[in-house]
Amino acid sequence: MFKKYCLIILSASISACVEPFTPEVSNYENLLVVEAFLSDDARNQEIILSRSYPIDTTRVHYETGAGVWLEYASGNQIVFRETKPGHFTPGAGFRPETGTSYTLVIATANGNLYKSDPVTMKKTPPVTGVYFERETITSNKTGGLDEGFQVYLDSETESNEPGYFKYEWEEIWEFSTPFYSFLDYNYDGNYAFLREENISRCWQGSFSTDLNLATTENITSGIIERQPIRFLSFRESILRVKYSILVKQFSLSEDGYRFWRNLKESNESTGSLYDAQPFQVTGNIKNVNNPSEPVLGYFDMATVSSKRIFIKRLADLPLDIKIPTLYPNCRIGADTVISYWELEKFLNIGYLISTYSTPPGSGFVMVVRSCIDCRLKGSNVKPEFWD
Amino acid sequence: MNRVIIGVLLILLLHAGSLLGQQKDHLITSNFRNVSFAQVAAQIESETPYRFFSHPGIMDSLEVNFEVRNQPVQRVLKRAFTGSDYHYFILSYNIIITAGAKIKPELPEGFFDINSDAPVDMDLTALLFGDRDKSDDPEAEISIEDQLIEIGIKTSLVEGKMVNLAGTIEDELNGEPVIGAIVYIETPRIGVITNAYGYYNITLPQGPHTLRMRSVGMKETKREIMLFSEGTLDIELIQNVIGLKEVVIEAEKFLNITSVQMGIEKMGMTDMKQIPTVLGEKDITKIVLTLPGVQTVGEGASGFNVRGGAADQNLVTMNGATLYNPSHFFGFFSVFNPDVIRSATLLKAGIPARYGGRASSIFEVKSRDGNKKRFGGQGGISPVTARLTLEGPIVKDKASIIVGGRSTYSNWLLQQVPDANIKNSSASFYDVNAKISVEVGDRDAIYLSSYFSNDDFRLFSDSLYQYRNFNASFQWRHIFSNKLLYIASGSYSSYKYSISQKNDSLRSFDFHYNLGSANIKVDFSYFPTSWSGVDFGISSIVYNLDPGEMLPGNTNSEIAPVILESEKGVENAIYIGNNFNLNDQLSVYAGLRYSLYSYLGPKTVNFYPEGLPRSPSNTTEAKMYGTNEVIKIYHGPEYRGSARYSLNSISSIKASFSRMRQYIHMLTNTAAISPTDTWKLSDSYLRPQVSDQVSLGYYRNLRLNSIESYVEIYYKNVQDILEYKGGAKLLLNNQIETDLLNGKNKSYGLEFLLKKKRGKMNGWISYTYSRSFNKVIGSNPEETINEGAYFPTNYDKPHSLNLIFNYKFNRRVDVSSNFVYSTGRPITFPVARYVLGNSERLFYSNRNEFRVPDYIRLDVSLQVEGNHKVNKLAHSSWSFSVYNVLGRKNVYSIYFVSEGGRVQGYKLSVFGTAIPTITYNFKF
Repeated sequence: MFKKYCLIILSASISACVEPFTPEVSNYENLLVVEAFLSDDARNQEIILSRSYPIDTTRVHYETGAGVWLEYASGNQIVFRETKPGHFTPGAGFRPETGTSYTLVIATANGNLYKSDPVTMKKTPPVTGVYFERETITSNKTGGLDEGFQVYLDSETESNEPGYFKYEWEEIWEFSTPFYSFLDYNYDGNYAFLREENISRCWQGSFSTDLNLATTENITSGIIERQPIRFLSFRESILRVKYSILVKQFSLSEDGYRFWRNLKESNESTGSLYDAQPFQVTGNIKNVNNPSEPVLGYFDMATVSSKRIFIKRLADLPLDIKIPTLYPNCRIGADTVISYWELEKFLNIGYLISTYSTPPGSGFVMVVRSCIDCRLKGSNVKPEFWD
Repeated sequence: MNRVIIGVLLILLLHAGSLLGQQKDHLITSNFRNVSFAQVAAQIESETPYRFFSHPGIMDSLEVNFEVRNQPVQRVLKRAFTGSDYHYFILSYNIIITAGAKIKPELPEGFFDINSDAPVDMDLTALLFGDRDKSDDPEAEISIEDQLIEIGIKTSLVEGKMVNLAGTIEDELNGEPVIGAIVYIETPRIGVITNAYGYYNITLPQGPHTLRMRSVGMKETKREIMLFSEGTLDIELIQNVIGLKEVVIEAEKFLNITSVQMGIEKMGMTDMKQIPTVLGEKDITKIVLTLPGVQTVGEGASGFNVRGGAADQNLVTMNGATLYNPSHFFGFFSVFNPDVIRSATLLKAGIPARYGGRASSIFEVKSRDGNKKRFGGQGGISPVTARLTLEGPIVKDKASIIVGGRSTYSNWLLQQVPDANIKNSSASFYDVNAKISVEVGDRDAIYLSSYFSNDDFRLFSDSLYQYRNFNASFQWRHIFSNKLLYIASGSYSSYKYSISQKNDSLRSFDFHYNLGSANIKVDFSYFPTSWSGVDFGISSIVYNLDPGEMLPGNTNSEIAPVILESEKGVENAIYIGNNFNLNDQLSVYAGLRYSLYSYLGPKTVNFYPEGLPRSPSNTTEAKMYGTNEVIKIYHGPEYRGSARYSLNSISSIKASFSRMRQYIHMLTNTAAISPTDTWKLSDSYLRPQVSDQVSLGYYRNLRLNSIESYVEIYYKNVQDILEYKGGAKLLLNNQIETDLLNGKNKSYGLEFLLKKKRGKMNGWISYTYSRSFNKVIGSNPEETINEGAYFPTNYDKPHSLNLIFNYKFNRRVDVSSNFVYSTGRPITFPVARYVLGNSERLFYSNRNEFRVPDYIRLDVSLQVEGNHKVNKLAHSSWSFSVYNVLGRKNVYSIYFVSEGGRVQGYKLSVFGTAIPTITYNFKF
């Protein structure tokens, strides 16, 4: 009786109780969004202005035509220029000094003037190590076990005050197609020729989107150790050849840390039975004439400290680990052998030439483009730091 | 001829009367197990001079089953014939047994009155044998009911003088006091209700009365008394095994219309049987949720909201000791073991001065006394939980003990919860109740009770959560005189929880929260006259709490120890309340409670400049206070009043006013109570919550009192409710005042209840229209919510409808169903998207501007009981229930997550499918 009953229970409960949901919200707030985290590194000196957009749309609207400048040391200004819609950069050679206080000023095209609270350029302590360890975690999404490498970061600190940090990463990995294209085709001359460009070895990149924050508040040693940065699952293909991650550390002010923590809390950690209620998160930028207007984003400045590591398949991965290919549908494929006369027809429907068929002169081995041209998934330009 | 017969009869009767008094006590000791009455008679005849006279068929056809020890013959006969159609009549040493009709030992009224209309030519059989159709109760207890009991000293009889009669009413079966029994006489109409100890006190004119008693689940009985002066009368009631529910109505009908108290909901075991179970457990708090004026945020929410009040505004007590976390297992079960609970009372309005400490309601749960007569037990098994309760006498009729325990053994339930965190978790709980009841003489009774519960659960983040309730209480009831009794009680409550991560990581930690409170109080009840009763007393509560300590979980851990300063507070109160029956129509209660609260050192208090936002960076000064140094005092009167005006015997109007002050608050910024919420004392910044409520109600019983109904309206205002800044950090915050806000609440509503408890089909309909709003205006925008406008609270659900329906096919099979509809709860919704930090983010609306879809649920259950033989070894029953038959995915929350740079919305329902359960219950 009891056993039978349990079976009923289990079969009845298969349908999930979490379902995607798109809300119908009529009132929408059009607000200024300021992305402004400036560092000493020229690649982290862009200010992006945009507008919030309705909940049922996805297109970003950039705020164009605004005047953007920094004020510091009573009256000095650094003017930012709009390089593309909504993107503002200072002139080359902008080197903010640590310890100096800066204020961000934005004059929008519609005549509103926004000012931030003064922010001190902070010095970020150096990253002492980025490393990875083999771990098995419980997947948040599927609930199953997931094995992979967990990337960690260690850092130093240079003061006795608690430190507040934000982490970002950029990753890039190498991959290749299962087939190599030796030949290209000249439509004008109607002949095949040796391909110079390697279109089978490519690189694909990605960057962090989730907020990763840490503080040494309540840490005895006062330093960040074993801060989890990114989990690389063995179920994904990114470790198949060679992988590299650049981890960047930025110091935050205490208020800045609270801003990002609140943003994380109300955007990323929801969905349990006991969620804190979501709330409006606004930062340190205000409309001078209308201080109650919510302005989204937080202006902050700190030097960046970073470290890059590589994970090589042969050197770093245990032999027992199988990393899935990015091309699971290409296991068969190099069996399309055609004659010269059929060549153009096949090229036109999306095939590329791999090589001549044997015996020589009998025709060509053709492969579907998606199995031979890696540029469909990445770029075949080798990054400068790659060896 | 007639005259002669009458004369003979007279002599016989007089003679019989004197003989009854003179007979020596011949005591019988024997175990009559499944024997015919003939054998009983044979034993009596062999041991005593008594002789039996009857039709031989009677002696053999009656089978008896009982045990006697040193009992007089009359008692043995009474036991033998209880529940049968036979009667006995003792004339000297002759015992006459009759079937059906009984021999009447007195003459018809007016027999000797020459002017009476009584027929002179009387039928002898009608004279000697009562007409059984006319008899009120042909069953047992006739002899004791008809016996005239003389009370008091005969010489002090003064006609028309009012005197006092008191005593206790107990259950004949187990000696437990019968609470809420009505003791009354019909002419003039005077009635009282027994208190929590089964004690009653009634003031009656001197002279003869028929004193009647009625109670829930008990056979109605009466006593013929001759009251000469003040005295006592203890009465044992017999359980009404068959007509349980019928009697309930009688009792509550009386209360409903005539009691001054309004806004009261009393629940017993019979109510628990009426609604389908959730996951196989009968749960008294689930009944609370079907009553008008009570809301819950959703499934899995452990708290409930009474008339627009926050969940921490309910004082939940078990045998007088406060329970700080009244739920198990993410709120799916309450901490109350159904086998141990006797009753639960919810006071929503017009709260008497005796109660205090919370702004919204009092939820008082009482456990049963152990059986004082014999050992017994009961329990149940379902796929989720198992429970067992044992009880019995320590000293027969004087002292008893009851011990009950429950545990869950199943983690599969968690797999049903659509939350990745919970899915990969384990959870278990157990609880133990124990109570000892001792009667010392006629005037004293002592009760000792204790409760312990433990919950463990592990979330996939490998953090282990544990929380524990521990309560101990004692109560001493002493009766000084019929007019004055007092109850001295003491209790200790402790609530603690811990979160620990005991792995070898550098972030391994151990977090603890601790709350202990000790309460001593003395409550007096004084009945100076027949038309008034006075309650007065004092109460003192000492709170000690450790708001949090975080310690490293292992030797390598780099977690810095953080220990927040302990908090200490003392809450004292004194009260007096007086109930006047001004006349038959109007009855008034007036009460005053004065409470005084002190927040005591040692403690460091931070100061902030006026007008600026309270924040750690604005701290101007920190001041140290020494041990027991007074940091802050709050005090104030709490006015209580209610009145009842009877329109007629079936309807009345009631009105009430009450002010309540609350000095301890729960910190929670989740929609539902979560297991990691903490309690916090009022301090220099956090002011006590003060509520004022007025309510008005109309009560009416319909269709010969088989249906009771009421409509109540209320308006409530609460000062200094607790709200939170967005992103408030409630744990391990040593400047918690910088994240807390004081606000206002206003609530109003209309409640309607229609309840039928009689008959094969019974149940109730409750409908509530209610609104509840908060408002927070600080001195600056950071301390203001929604621009200072009123906004709906998390539990503001305007329309709420509950239908409870129960149908009895026969005495062994019944079905019940529970239909719930309510407006969806308010939530905060995103109103815009934007891109920041490489990812899409959401900008949220003002607090609680939107609502989740409406909530609709139907539960059904079928109960099948074993046969109803009274003397079976064990009684058992099966219960089959299906929770959420419609399988509707009721939305608990809607949330949005940015994953991989994109925002996706989800809706979460706790029980998205129908959940069937089966439970086996037994009792022996």
